[in-house]
Amino acid sequence: MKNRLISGIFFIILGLLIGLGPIILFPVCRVHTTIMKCFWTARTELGIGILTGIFGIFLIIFPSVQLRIGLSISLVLNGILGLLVPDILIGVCDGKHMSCRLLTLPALNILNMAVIIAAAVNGLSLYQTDKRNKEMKKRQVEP
Amino acid sequence: MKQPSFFLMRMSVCNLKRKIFRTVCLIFLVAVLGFTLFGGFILTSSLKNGMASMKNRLGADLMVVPKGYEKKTEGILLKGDPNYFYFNQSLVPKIAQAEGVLQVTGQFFLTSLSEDCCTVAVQLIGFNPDTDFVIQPWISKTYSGFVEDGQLIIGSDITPEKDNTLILFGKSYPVAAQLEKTATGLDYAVFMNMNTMQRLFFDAKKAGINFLAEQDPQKSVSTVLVKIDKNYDPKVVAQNIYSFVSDIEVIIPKIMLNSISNNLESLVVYIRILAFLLWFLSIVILTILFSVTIHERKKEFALLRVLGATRKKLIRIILTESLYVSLLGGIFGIILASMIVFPFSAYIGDRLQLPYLQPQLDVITDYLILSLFFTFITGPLSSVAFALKISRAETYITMRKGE
Repeated sequence: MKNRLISGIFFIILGLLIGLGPIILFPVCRVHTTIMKCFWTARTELGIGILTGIFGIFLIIFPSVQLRIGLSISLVLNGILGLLVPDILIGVCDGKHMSCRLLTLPALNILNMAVIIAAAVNGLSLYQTDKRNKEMKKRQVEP
Repeated sequence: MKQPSFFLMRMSVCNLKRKIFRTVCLIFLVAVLGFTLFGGFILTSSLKNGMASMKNRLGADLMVVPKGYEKKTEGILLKGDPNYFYFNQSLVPKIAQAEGVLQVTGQFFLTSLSEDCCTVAVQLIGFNPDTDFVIQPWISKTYSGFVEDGQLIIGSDITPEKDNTLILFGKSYPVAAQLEKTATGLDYAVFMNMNTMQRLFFDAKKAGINFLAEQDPQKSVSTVLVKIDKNYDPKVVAQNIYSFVSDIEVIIPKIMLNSISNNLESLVVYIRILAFLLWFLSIVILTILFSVTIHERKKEFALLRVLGATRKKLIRIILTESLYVSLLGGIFGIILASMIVFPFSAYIGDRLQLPYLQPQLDVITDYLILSLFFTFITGPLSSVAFALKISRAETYITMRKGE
């Protein structure tokens, strides 16, 4: 339960940072006359962040190890998507001194990398636990 | 019989795992140290690197600008704030006549429109390839060819269009080369020869831009860069120029940079003192923590002695534990520092408003090794005295203590 809680809360925090960061904490450029690329990146990251947070809540709620492995895989893929959005799929403004390039882009890269690494580690450790549990059950069944 | 060393390692790991909270606290403490050391090294090195680059790049010994434009020129050079100001080109030969002046070259400044190429306005600088001694040596580092009419050379912070062009005053110009980063305002400037500048100037006029007043690149210049004879003092030559020409301001870049350099030096010293103090503090705190934990584990060590562990082995167990703590903490702290100083380097430079240029990979590697060394030795240094003390304790007395 302790591990479930820690990992769940960790992903909820990361989800909040990814979702709300580009709007509040490390904001993208302000919208003046034209809407720039970074605005759409922030919108997409809001969705990705919410999804990461929801997966974090699911990690706390569901006790099944296999389900949590599945959630961890989803989190890895979600993190990859979160990384691709500001870097390749949508991008940020071209100007090297623009707020979105100076602050939002590196922050999103770090946060999404953290999601990928943490989810991968969580998934692998759950896989090991699941394997151990199965072996133990097997031993118990065998006379 | 000699025990294999992995047994000691395994034992140390088990000991650390057994008191996980204490171990995490110790690792965190060393991580803070690693973070400060490596982060501090990179920060100070980047500031020094930026300053050195700026000194190299400002090329000329003196800069002559119209009277009252000293601050604006500093803004262009140091912060990249685009600006324009002019005086009559007829003053250039007069400046060249001053005693101690070796070479002069004029530059013409213009600013782009914010909606043109780069979202914000950039500094456009026209130079004369025949007389220039500042821009061309710099350009030659990245571009070996001659800057043709209509071609642009852009600073490192300007992003060209996908087809390697730049749109200025509604027209597209090919980019011949991009200059290497200098940590000066010139990173956000576009360079061209005077013919291209002339073309741009008329394009701007055609577009109805009236900020250019009645100036013309053929009749006016924004600044005259002066190279002086090595035997002359820049201040004396500046006085000589003042006696020849009126309504001008002579800037001595070295003096302008000295004030920034002094501020920067003190900042570097503060950061290094802070890092050293933190290192010292970490050793003190770790020493206290190790003394408490080793004191707590006296009976455990006495039991190990009873089971046949030699004094040397006890010392090795304690030192291995502390080394693991330092190792993990150091690596964790350095990774954390790297996650901030490298991806956010542009942001840090922007916020500091100081020349900030990340050092080369070999310098970074040197600092990495140095930081790892300092963090790795912290743990063993803090625990070695207590390890020696506990190994010398009389086993029987230690076991019976408290009975």
